[in-house]
Amino acid sequence: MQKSVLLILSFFLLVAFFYLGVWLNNTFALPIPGALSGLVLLFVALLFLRDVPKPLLQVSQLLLRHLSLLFIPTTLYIVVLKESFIEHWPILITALLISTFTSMLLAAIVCKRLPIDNGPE
Amino acid sequence: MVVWMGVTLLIYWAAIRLFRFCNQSPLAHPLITTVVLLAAGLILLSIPIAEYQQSTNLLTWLLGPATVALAIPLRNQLPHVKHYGWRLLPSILVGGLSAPLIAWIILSYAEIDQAIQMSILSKSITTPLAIEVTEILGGYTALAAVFVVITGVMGVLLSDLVFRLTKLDVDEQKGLVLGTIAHAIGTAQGFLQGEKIGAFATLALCINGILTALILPIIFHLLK
Repeated sequence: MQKSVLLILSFFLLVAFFYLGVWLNNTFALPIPGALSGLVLLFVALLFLRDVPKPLLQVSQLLLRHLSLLFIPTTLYIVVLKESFIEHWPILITALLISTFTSMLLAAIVCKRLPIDNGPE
Repeated sequence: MVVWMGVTLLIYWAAIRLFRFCNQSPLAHPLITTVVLLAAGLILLSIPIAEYQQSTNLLTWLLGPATVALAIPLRNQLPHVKHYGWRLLPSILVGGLSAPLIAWIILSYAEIDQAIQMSILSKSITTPLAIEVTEILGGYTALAAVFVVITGVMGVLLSDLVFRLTKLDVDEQKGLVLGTIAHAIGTAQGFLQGEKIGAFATLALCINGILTALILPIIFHLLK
């Protein structure tokens, strides 16, 4: 019983930080996503704790594991946009393929030159 | 019209089963299966998209708190952040900035519609942030979401080739590259290959998401 209350409270903590970020961006007219400000604020708040509270960890894992589910409605707008997508699909796929391959290659080359190996355990 | 919410959950659940059955191949990603089936359903039954959106509003709203939740894996990677410091940044910056730039250059060279050009810029960051960035830049959010998913699948499929070409064989480095370019789809694939690759992919996904979502809107705000 107590555990589920903590889970619900953790969820509302995430909601609170989200709206705090939205409010902050509106107030100061920042041209960045509201959720991003919320993310950064929560990260800073968590730095003051030794560990992430377990219920908060569980709620975030649940949400992040099913992130795909959450953007299904947005992605479905493709049904409305399909003309513009279908008309240009060869160039769009080419652009995605070339940019993904090249940027990955560049990132790998840069990464290889930096001394990143065995970290803290 | 709550029925669409139920249908979505049911199809998504079945899509996860299919994904596991296919050994979690990125081509069978639950998002692809679910969107294709639902899109077919909406077109065949000629259901207006607005009606569908209305009954699934809750899912879209949850994207906000879910994005904020990325702070938690980022916080849990703090020992790595402290240990490697600035060394984590160059490859994330190079990968994270070159991906949208190259795609954008190709589209502007092909003289594609401005709004489509704006939609491809957020292709390498995790979808919830990509949707918000695209809204700010004036692109089509649905198109952006599709670009993000296609990029993720391509990134995973190309990763073996890239790692072989560059002889990249350290798990930490592979994770960084996967997370930078292929966001959550790359991260999921990273965890299948090992805990360490997954952890570093998560770190790269968070850092690239934050940097791109900060930098792109500010650049375009200044250019306007």
